Amino acid sequence: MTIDLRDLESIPDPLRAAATVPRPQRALPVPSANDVGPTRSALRSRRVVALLAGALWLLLTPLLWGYRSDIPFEQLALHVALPAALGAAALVLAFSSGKAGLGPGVRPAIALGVAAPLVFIAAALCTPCHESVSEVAWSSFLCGDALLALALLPLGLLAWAQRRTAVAGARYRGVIAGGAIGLVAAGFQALHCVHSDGWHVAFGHGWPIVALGALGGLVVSRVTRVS
Amino acid sequence: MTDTPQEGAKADEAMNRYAEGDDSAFAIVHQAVYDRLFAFLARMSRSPILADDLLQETFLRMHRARGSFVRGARLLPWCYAIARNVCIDHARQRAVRKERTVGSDEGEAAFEQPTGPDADGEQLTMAAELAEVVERALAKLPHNQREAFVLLRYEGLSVADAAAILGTTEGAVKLRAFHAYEALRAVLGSLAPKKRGAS
Repeated sequence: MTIDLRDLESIPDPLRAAATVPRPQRALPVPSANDVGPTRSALRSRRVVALLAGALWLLLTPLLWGYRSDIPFEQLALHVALPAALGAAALVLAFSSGKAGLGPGVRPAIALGVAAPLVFIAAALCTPCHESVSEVAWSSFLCGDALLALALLPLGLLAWAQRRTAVAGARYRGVIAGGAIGLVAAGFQALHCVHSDGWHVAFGHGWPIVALGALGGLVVSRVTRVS
Repeated sequence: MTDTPQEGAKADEAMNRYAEGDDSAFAIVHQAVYDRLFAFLARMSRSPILADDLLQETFLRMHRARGSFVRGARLLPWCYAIARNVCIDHARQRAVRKERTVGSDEGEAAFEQPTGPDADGEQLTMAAELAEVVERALAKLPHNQREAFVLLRYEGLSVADAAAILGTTEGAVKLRAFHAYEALRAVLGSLAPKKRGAS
């Protein structure tokens, strides 16, 4: 179907005269101190603090739990580096300014938001899958909970750093941010996790990514939306 | 009002300075976008009194979100996006409170069509009737169609800007505006035979 938007001009504007008639402007509202947001540079500093604190948390927590030193190169690439890289890319996209300064376009955002977890799961399934369903279910439950706990602080920090900054697309940006943090956390989790079976990584490290995406869409988007 | 590119650039620069912490620049921003935002909010809320309140809320949110204004971005799409959020929040609050729908046909102070000394009485009556028909038809449109139509047709924004403001694709914006156009065209089309019959 071809849409010619020039046709729109044929619809008269009912409020043209009334809405555009010169009118006295109401006085400039004087905002209280709470109502004045941070300047651009202050916001940048806040983001840097949140990113550094989040990264430190992700590095230190598995350090306390213990890192594995016997991870084969293939698993290091597919279970650790790949999700971390995908998550970082999604995070950059979620908070990029876009052409109009209103955030990324919907298409690339949704494409990466959907593709990144799917690529991670597919890559995980490319590694050996030997565990039984019951083993995978139990280990996925435990590992997934730990991953959620690992990711919550960075996600909270991100929401704090970005609060009241999303003027458009807050919902889908929140989903992508949540999923992105989940992917990065999944990478760090794999450095510690004793289960390297493909099924376990795909589901045990995969479901928290989906859950964090949902959390991002429901909670983070409310915090980051300009309100 | 930011009607010329020069005025627009001046307003963009003022917002840029405000985002960097120059509080005095906000007066220029306020002056530059006041009329445009009022017109948009009036079209969306169909009430000048409500539009005035929503406009004040929009300016407050602009204060809060100033740091998110990207260097080199244009002010108007950014402001429209905030104003749109204000409209959505107002509609949600109204739905929660189950208030009576606010609009010209529900008792709110509606717009009066201005009259001039040279205005022809019959023409004015016809224009007012037509305006009322379009306004009612617009009010009946789904919210997403109405905002797409208002942004493109009445606010004169590009499809790309409207898509960024509405957080959707350019194709979706075109489709929504086109559906709105078809609905409005149908209403106006049904009006035309009556007018011919009357004259």
